[in-house]
Formats: sequence, C-alpha cells, structure tokens
Amino acid sequence: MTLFSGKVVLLGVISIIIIAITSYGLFFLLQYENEKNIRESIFEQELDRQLKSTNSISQHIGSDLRYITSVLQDLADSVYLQNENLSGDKVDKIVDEKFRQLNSVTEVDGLLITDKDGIINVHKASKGLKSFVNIDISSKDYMKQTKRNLQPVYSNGFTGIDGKYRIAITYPIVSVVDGHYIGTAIANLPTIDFFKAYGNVENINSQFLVAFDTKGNLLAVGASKDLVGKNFFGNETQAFINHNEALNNLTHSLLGGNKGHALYDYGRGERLNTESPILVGTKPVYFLQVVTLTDRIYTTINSVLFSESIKMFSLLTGATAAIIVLVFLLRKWYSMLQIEVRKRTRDLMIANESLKKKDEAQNQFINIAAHELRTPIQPILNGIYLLQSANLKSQKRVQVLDIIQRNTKKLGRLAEDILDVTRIESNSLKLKVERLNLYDLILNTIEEYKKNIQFIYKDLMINYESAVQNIIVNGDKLRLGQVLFILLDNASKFTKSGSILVTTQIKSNTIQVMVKDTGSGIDPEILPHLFTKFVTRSDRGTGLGLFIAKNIIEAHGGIIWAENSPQHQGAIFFFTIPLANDVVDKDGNENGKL
Amino acid sequence: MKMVNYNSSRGYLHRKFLIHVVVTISIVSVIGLYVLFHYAEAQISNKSLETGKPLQIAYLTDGLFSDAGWGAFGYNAGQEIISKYGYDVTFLDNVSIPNIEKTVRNYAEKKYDVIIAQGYEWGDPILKLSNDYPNTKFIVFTGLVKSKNVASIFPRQQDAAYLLGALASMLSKNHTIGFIGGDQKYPNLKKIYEGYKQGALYINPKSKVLERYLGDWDNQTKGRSAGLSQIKEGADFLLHVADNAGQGVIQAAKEKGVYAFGAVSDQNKLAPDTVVTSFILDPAKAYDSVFDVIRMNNFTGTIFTPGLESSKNSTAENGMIYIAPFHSFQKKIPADIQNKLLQLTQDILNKKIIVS
Repeated sequence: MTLFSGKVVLLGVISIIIIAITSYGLFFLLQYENEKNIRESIFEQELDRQLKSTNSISQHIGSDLRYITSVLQDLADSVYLQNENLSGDKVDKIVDEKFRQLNSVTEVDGLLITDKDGIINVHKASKGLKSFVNIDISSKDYMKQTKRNLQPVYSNGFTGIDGKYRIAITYPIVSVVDGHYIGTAIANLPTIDFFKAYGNVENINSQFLVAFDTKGNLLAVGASKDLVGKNFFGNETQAFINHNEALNNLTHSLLGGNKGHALYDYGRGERLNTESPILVGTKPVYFLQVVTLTDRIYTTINSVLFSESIKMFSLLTGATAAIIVLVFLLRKWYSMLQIEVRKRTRDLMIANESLKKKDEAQNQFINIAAHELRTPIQPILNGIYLLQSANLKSQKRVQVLDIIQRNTKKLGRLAEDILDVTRIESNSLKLKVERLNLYDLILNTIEEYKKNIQFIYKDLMINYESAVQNIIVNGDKLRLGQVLFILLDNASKFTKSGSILVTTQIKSNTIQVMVKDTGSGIDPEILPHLFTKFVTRSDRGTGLGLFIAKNIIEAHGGIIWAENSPQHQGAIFFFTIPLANDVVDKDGNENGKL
Repeated sequence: MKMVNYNSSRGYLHRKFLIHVVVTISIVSVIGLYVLFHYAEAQISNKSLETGKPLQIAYLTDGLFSDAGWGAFGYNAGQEIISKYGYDVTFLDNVSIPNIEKTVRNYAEKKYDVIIAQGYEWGDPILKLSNDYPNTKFIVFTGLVKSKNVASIFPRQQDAAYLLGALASMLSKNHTIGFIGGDQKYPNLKKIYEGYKQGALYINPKSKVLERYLGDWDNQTKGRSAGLSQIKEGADFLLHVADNAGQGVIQAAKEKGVYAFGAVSDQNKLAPDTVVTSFILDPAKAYDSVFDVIRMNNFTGTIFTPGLESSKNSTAENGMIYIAPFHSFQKKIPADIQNKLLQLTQDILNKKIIVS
C-alpha cells in the first residue's frame, strides 16, 4: 500500500515536472517565434521606410545641387563677368548676393570666381574663413575638367588650404557672344556641414548618413568624423570596418550607380544600410548611404515585447504556483482521506468481527435454543402419547400430567427468556419504573420461589437477612423480581440440598443485594463469561438467565457480579441498585439509628 | 713512383685551371660590384627623381596664403612644384617668427627631403640647425644664407620696383609717389624702395618719393592709415610691399581716388580701378633654378638671385619677376608710356641699366 502510493507520488511528480518543462519550453518557443515574426515584420517596415527615405534624401540633395548649379549659371551669365570684369566692387556685390542666395537653401562656405588661368579673382568666404585671392587653382582636376568640357563639374572631395574637407561645384564662365572661356564660378561646400543638413553625420549611435564621391572618398560619415576625407577602400577605413565584405560589396555596387541595401556587423553592432546614388539629371555625382543600428529599430518594440513576455511569464508562473499549491492540497487531502479510510476500515473490521461474533453467537443461540426447545417437547409428546394410548392408573396419570405441565412451563419460560434476550439485543427492553420497596419484593419473591421448588428441592433452605426493611428504589417490580428469581433458581440448581442466603445492605446511595449459596461454586473457566448468553453448566437451565439479569440490573443503573466464596463452598452473586434519591438520607439515618 | 708522377702532372694541370677560374671570377666580381655600386649610388642619388618615391617637400612660411600677394605667391609656387615635378608638397602658413626654428626642426625630424622656407626671417634659424639634418636640403626664399645643404633665392625685386617707380613718375600729376613697406629690418625691402626711387628719379629727378614702414606685415588698418597719410602729403601713386597690411594701402588709394601698385602677385583684382599694375614673382619659375640643381644631384649652398623676365613664365630669360598686365588701364595708359616701360625692361634685362 505504502510502496504503491510512493510510486504514484513519484509518477505524479515526474509528470508534473515533464508538463511544466514542456509548457515552459513551449512558452519560450512560442515567445521566440512570436518575437521573431514581430521583429521581421518591423524590420521589413523599417527597411521599406528607410529605402524610401534614402531615395528622398538623395533626391533632395540632387535637387539642391542642381539649384547651386543654376545660381552659378546666373552668376556666370551676369553682365560683368560676360564683359570679363572678374573683380571689383560690382562683381563683389553680385557675388555677395549669390552667396546669400545659396546659403538660404544650403551650406556653401565659399563662392569663387577664377580667371581663365585658374587664379582666384574673387573669393567670398563665410564669416570667420579666409579668402584666397590670387591663389592658382588651375591644377585642380575639377578646374581642368570645367575648362576642357565647358560643363558644370561636381568635384570629388579635397582638402582646402585651411584644412577643411570640401567639394566644389563649378560652372564655366563662357562668353555668350563667341563661346570663349572666360573663367569659372565655383561654389565650395564643406562636406560635413553640407550633408549635415540632410541627416546625422556626427553620431554613430543613431541613424547616420555616409556620403561618397565618385572615387569612394568619404565626404561625410556619421560613424567617425576622422574618416572624412579618407578613401573607403583605403587602409584606415577598411581597418575601421574590419574589411567587412558585405559592406564593401554594397559600397562597390553603390559607386557603380546602383541602389541597394544590406545588413552587416563589422564589430559595432548589426546595421541596416540603404543606399542610393545622388543624381543630377541622370548622372550620379555623389553617393549616399543611410545606416541604422538595427538594435535601434527594435528598441521601441523591445520594451513592449519585454512587458508582454513578463506578463505571459508571470501568468505561467502563477499557474504553475497554483498547480503546485493544488497538488500540495490534494496530497494533504489524500493523506487525510487515507487516515480516515484506515480508521473507517479498522472500524469496519471491528464491526465485521463483532458481526461475525454476533453471527456465530446467533447461530450458537439458535442451535442451543433449538436444542433447549426440543428438550422439554419430547417428555410432553411422550406424556401425551401415554395418555392417549393406554389406560393409565390415575396415580400414574397424575404423574404424567405433572411431567407434561412441568415441561410445558419450562418451554414457556424458555420462550419468555428468548423473547427477553431478543428485546435486550434489539434494545427494546422497556422497564415499568415505579417506587417500590425492595425488601418487600425480595421477601415476596423468596416466598413464591419456595412454593415453586418445594417438591423438587425438599432439603433446600432459603433465608433472607436484612438490617433494613424499607429499601425504596425506582425500578420495575416484575423485572427486579425476575432477577431475584433467576439468581435463586441458579443458586438452587447448584445447591440442591443446603442453604441459600439473601442479604441486603445499603452502601452509600446504593443497595447491594447478595445471594449466597452452599453449592458447588462457579467453574473458574466459566467465571469470566458468566453473564453472557448460553453459558451454563446446569443441565436444566437455558443459559440465558444471568444474561437477562445483567441487562435488567444495568438498565436500572446498577451492576452485577459473581465470585466464589473463599471460606466455604459455594457461589456468591451481588447486584446493586441506586436508592431513590429522596429516601437515601432518611433511610441512612434510620440505618444509623439501628 | 709512376703513380706519383702521374699524380703530380695531373695536380699541376688542375692547379693552373683553378688559378684561371679564380682570376676570371675575381675580375667579373670586381666589375660587377663596381657597376652595382654605381648603379645603386645612381639609384640613391636619383631617388625620387624619375623613379621611386617622389620627394617629400615642406613649404613653410610666416606669411598668409590668404593675403592675395606674398603668401598667395608661396602657395601657388608650391602648387607649381607639385604639378611640374610631381613631388609631394605639404603646406604650412602663418608660422610665428619665434616658432620658426621649432617648426623647421619638426619637419626635418619627419625626414622631409626638402624644406622650403619663404621669408627672410627663416635664414638664420635654418642655417643654425641645418648641420643637424645633413640629409635635408633647405631653401630659403628671399634669404641670404647658404651652407652645404642650405640654398637661398633672393630675387632682384628692385629691378621690378625700378620699372614701377619709372611708371609712377611718368603718370603722376603731383610728382609725388609713395612707398609703404612692411618691416624695415628686411634687407630686400630697402632694396625695393631704392629701386623704386631710382626708377622715379630716372624719369623725373624732381620726383618726390615718400618712404614709410609699418613695422608689421598683417595689419591692414595700419596700411590704410599710412596710405592715407602719404596721399595727404600729395602722393598719387602708392607702392606697397607689406603683404596683408598692403591691402590697406590699396584700400586707402581706392578711397581717395589715387592709384596703387600691387606687390608679388597681380593685385588688380583687389581694386580693378585703383591697382594700375603689380610686380609679380612668377610662381611658375620661382624654384626652377634650385630644383634644376637638385635634379642634377648637384645641390650646393648657393644664393640664387633671379631678376626680371619679359613676361609670365617666359622661356627667354631666367628671371622670375615681371610686371602684371594693365587690365582696364591698358586703354588708359598712353602708348608711349607703355613703350617706354618696355624699353626700360629691355634695358634692365640687357644690363644697360643696373639697379643698385
């Protein structure tokens, strides 16, 4: 039983652990899948958004570059420059005006006019910057290109005399009359400040821009200001990006004039890069990348996902805790139940045992009763047979009738006794309680009994001795008489010739009645079971008398017991009955007087 | 015995053969090594010329590249070196005078092959430290110093100033012209004034030539007030040789409606109706003489004194100074005056006139 329940418990615990692990595993798997899906979808949205924004930024830059070119064209077409007056107050004035015009839209820190030899004639510089009149910039590629093609040029990056990294946009000053080259109008754009207007180019930790010229020189790069002016494929930049292949391929593709995007991590966190060439007309002049730390994309959703998973997790934990508590409660309940079941089982077993005993006793009772009933029937039948069959002498006839009468009485008594036992056992023995004087009752009963046995036990003496004659008790006169009768009959059966002494003695608030004989005494083997049914050594008793007597006395609130006389031969029976309350003192006083 | 004989004759032949081989190998080795050494030497001395790494040059000046004159000339000259010879040139301007030695040492430590210093002030510090960097060649522009690895270029700017003095004298209505210099302690400055004065007096011995020094090269306000002051004294032509401060002189002339001459670069563009012409140091030829000897691997401590050239980047002369075009004044200056100026130029080039 214990082993079995231990196994069950172990099995239960293992099942719970397996279920818990499975549900937690399932929970985390679902959570992971869910987050992955959300992230993917957010990533897709961000990619789409960033691609659009990259396009729109590069279009914006392209259109600003076109605007700068158109202002330079205005300048080149102005009447003074057309007349080859490349310096002087009037030229200064128009250059000032154009400079202001440009700076209202974008960041231009120098507006220059060179002569045909590439010498700077006018240089309008932003406040705080030096101007470099008379400097010869004819050797610059963008100047040579402008002069050669007589077309605007969007220069690659270069470091100015003052150390600032710039790009230049040129417009050739060409005579409208004969088309000869007069000089060049140039707008200088500080690359960082210029690109700053379109996005972050200074902070690696938020979305930033990277701008390239056609040679792959970095014009502005949010990842590191130190890289500005460096070539993307040069050692320094490559060391910075750890020679990241994905980024290199992406940039190659961009410099080839293509749009694109890629994800990569060169050791500073995964980044999303969307790129687009910056077109002026249809020609790519510069190249743009927009770079986002993918972590940033997920930042907002991360907190939501985190709180969601915390919610789910606490739900699961709560459920688990509830299950654990429930299991403990069930286990407690189960053990209580088990104790109860054991108790009930024990009770049942006891009840069963007693039922078995009862059954056995019943069977025995029926056997004995049948036997006891049969015993007087045979002499009755014989007597009747004798009376019917022969002509008996009258003396003999009286004898036979006497036998029939005796046995019939015995049968009647037996029937009475069995009825009493049945009453007792079904708890339906009813007492007719009344005030009575026990002394009188005992005296009368003894007298009556003497009459009954005067012909059977001719040598038997029955005496009654009592110090008091007024013994008032509440009791059933018939039943108490019956008890006395039983005790006398019992004594006489084992005494036959000798004496029976009955005494009454008040003890405290009870009356103790003693019936003492001089018979053979009680068989010590029987003594412990003396007051149970069908225990008798007598050849004529029913074995029910003492059982009935005991139950009657106990029903009166008294006790009954028996012992063998120590000095003399014989048995002594005692019983007690409570005295009626209101007479105790009075009787006691009377006793005291006597 | 036979065996011994045989062996000895065999041994003799063997030895003779060995001697031949050894001698031949020795001769070939010696010739080979000689050729190799010469080749290597040539390689080393020609380093950075036609083959190998380009020369690393530092171009340093106390002037400002933004001054539209002296400094701008320096920057342009450096650019010329880049485009003409393909060398790498690093630029640094606005070096303060007390920092000259420290700056030069810094570049010399960085193993620049050639350090060009533009400015008279650089001469002495460079001369002092040049022994510490025997592998570096130093060139001082407008310097007057030389040593084993130091050369100077001291252009005869007085020749050009002479022409400007003569031109001013021919055009001046007041017969009073002015000269405003930067810091007097520069010997070339005095020479320029002298040339200017000689030119003016050559045309008109009664010409009055005002002379003034600012003690400063950068302060335009000082230049302007000096210019105004000379104009007040009657000067109607002003020559400045005051770098950035000289722009103030031109400003003063422009304000008062008199004329000015530009210095070192063509400064007409600063005030097209004021600056009649300028004397120009030709950046295209400024360092030719010295790089010729560097390329010939023949560098010695020399003070080059290039003079006039007839026009910009002229191949006819070795000079490096010329007079700028008249621009809008081309039509205003009478032809005879222009011719006279050309004549005087030729006279100087032909040494008929020696400006002292």
